[in-house]
Amino acid sequence: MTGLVLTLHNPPAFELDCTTLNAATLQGKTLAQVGRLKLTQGRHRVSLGDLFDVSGDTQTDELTLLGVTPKLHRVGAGLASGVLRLSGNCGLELGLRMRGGRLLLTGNAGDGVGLGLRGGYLEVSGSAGDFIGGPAPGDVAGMNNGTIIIGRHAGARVGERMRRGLIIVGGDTGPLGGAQLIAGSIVLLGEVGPGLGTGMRRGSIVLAKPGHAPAATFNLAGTFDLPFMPLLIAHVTALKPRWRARLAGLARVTRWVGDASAGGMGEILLAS
Amino acid sequence: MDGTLIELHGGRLYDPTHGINGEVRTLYLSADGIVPPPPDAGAIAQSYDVSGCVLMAGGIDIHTHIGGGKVNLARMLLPEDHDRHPVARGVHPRMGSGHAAPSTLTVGYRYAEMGYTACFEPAMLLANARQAHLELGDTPIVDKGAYVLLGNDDLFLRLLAAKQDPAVIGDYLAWTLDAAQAMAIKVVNPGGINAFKFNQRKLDIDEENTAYGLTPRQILLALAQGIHTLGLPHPLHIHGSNLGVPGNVETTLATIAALEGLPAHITHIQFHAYGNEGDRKFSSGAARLAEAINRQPNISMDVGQVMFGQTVTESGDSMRQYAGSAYASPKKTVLMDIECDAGCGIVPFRYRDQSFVNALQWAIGLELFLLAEDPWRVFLTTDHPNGAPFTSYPHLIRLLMDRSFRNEKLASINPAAAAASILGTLTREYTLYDIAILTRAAPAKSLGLSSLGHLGVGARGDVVVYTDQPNREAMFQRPRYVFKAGELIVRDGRVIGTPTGATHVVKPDYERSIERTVNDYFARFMTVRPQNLRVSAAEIEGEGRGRLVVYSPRRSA
Ligand SMILES: [Zn+2]
Repeated sequence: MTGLVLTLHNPPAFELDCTTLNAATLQGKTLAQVGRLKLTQGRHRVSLGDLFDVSGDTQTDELTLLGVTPKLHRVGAGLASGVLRLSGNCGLELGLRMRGGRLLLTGNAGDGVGLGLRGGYLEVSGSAGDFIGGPAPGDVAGMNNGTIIIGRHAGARVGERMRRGLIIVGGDTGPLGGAQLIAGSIVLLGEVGPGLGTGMRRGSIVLAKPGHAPAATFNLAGTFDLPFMPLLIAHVTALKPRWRARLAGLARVTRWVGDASAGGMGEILLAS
Repeated sequence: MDGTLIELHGGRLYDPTHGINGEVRTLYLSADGIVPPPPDAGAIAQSYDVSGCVLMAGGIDIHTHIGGGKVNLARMLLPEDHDRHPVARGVHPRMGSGHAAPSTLTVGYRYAEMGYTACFEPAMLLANARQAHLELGDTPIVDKGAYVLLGNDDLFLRLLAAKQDPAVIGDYLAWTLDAAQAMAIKVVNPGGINAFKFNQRKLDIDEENTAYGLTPRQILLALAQGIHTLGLPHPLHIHGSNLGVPGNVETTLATIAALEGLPAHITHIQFHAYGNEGDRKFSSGAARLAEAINRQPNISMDVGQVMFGQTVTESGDSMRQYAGSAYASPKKTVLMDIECDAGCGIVPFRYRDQSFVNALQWAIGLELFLLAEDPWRVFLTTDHPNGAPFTSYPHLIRLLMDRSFRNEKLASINPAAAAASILGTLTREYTLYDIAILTRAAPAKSLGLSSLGHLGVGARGDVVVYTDQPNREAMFQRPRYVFKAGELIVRDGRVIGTPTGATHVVKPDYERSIERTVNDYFARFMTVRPQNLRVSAAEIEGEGRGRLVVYSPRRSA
């Protein structure tokens, strides 16, 4: 393992804000300096070293967090470059307003993965909660660029108010996926909950599993061999080769346009 | 006398109420407040050598939006304001957050850190008075009070349109003050908020509200007369018509004239001091307005200075906030209404020094400060948070006291705005004595706060010790000591004690028969009873946590 390694030895009993934990802020510091770094925990300030064992080196832009727990929030917030690896189940707002680099979680994540994402690559190997790629606190629009991949299932409102970028969910998703979508692409490989694309204006929601019936405010626009689909399939396959077979049905898609209740011209593309 | 007796010796006192201008005097403080020198020096428990320091009474903010529905709406609309400005426990006694619409705890601490010990919330609705008092009750350290909004409520307009006896209207004003536990009466865009609900988009001083056939002029006069007759210490607090509209200086001048010599306070006057000259049809009306106010001893004003940066505007003026929502930054707005009492609009805004309009607004505010001849009739405000958060006061004080600093800032703003302003030609510099008037003595006098704003025997014992330094911003940002009611609460800019301040209310006499009128009205039109809205003294005093200071004015003929 290269780079700096932080191993949680004293799991916090309540919410720890990990906003400052990324390689860019730690780079070049001595391990002792890293240990003295202050983090906000609930209403207190605590030293990083009281919670984590610090090892490795701070010369690279790589950081690994081991033994992550759901009390760790905002891990990778504002990440701009480098690689941040995590293992364990993390808390809320993983990769909040992340701008670049790679954030790789082996485990599950809480709500708000990639809120206000501006760029970069964020992957959760397991499942994640609600509001993936939605608006950051106070923002009107959701993620603006970048890629989010959820290996297994996701909660409600995947990609709500998303503006640009790509979200792929390997498993099932909850209600109101792509609600109020402004633009961008959401690819869902499993079952989807009710209210898909409610209030969407533009953008594409791609369902790899046939059989979904869009809401009455979506209009059937025909079945097509869209030239865009092979490109999308190739892109997703390049990221996740094991999903190749599940994407096969997308070569020919049925297109539904809406949400008409919001004057929207977005599309739901259903695998045939 | 009880508790510890504290002696502050060697400091220079600025106490305009008693005409003390920088004389070295010794002050004695106890839990009773400021006390005469003890006959026996042995009684002194603590003695502070404050040589080289400046002593003033605790600051009083006469107009700051720190409680009530609109502040909470702003907090909810702007999670980023709290997200980006967290304050961990340890920095303050308890955690908090927020910059433009801070949490209640943060408001109290930040005011105390600057040496302010009393704050007045200027826009409380009777329908929302309980919420306002709950928030004020949760604001530590500072004394507080609130002004109740009248003049856009249906019952008042009905009474006025029916040409009711002024005595009945006066009783209604007094009943509302009593029910809401208020300290004064404020009118916002007289009749205009109400007219907005009937789809009018502007209402000038002699335009009729179509629903009631009343003009702002009639409403202002009825309110000012009623308040004068009740003998309230603070005159009608006026947020005039046409806020922010280029050319509104005419409206403001007409508003002053409409009062026919009755006392009144014009609030955040900077937002009402715009001409419509020049290429951009936006110019300064400060000189004309200041001249008019200098001639009219019945009028006082607070400035509502604009400072550059992100803030949020919170106002009862739904009509103007609706118009302003197009300029929201970030782009989001809330307009809302409770029980048709008045209105409410929240519009986030970022004042930019390179914007012609914003830069000129900044200059107009400073022009008003510097052209106002009588410091007893001008109060230092930013209309927190509408012009800027109150935490910018030390910077504003430096702008007023330090001409070269001011000119340096003037050179950095939008050049066309700088050229359009006479600010560069104004050489006046405020003195410490003037600042003590603006921020202490004058607001106390205007509100009738006999125990605050001065350093005489009998005062509550709110005393601030500043280290005298040429950088006035640094000086006013971080007092060396702040005492609240004789207790040391801030040392070197850090809060070390958090007493609960008193709530100041005014209770004029009134004819109880008005309750029948109010009850009938509520039974017919409202969703609740008057007793549901009425805030009792016990709610504020709650198990000794709060304390009411009641002023009982005597009616004038
Ligand atoms: Zn105001």
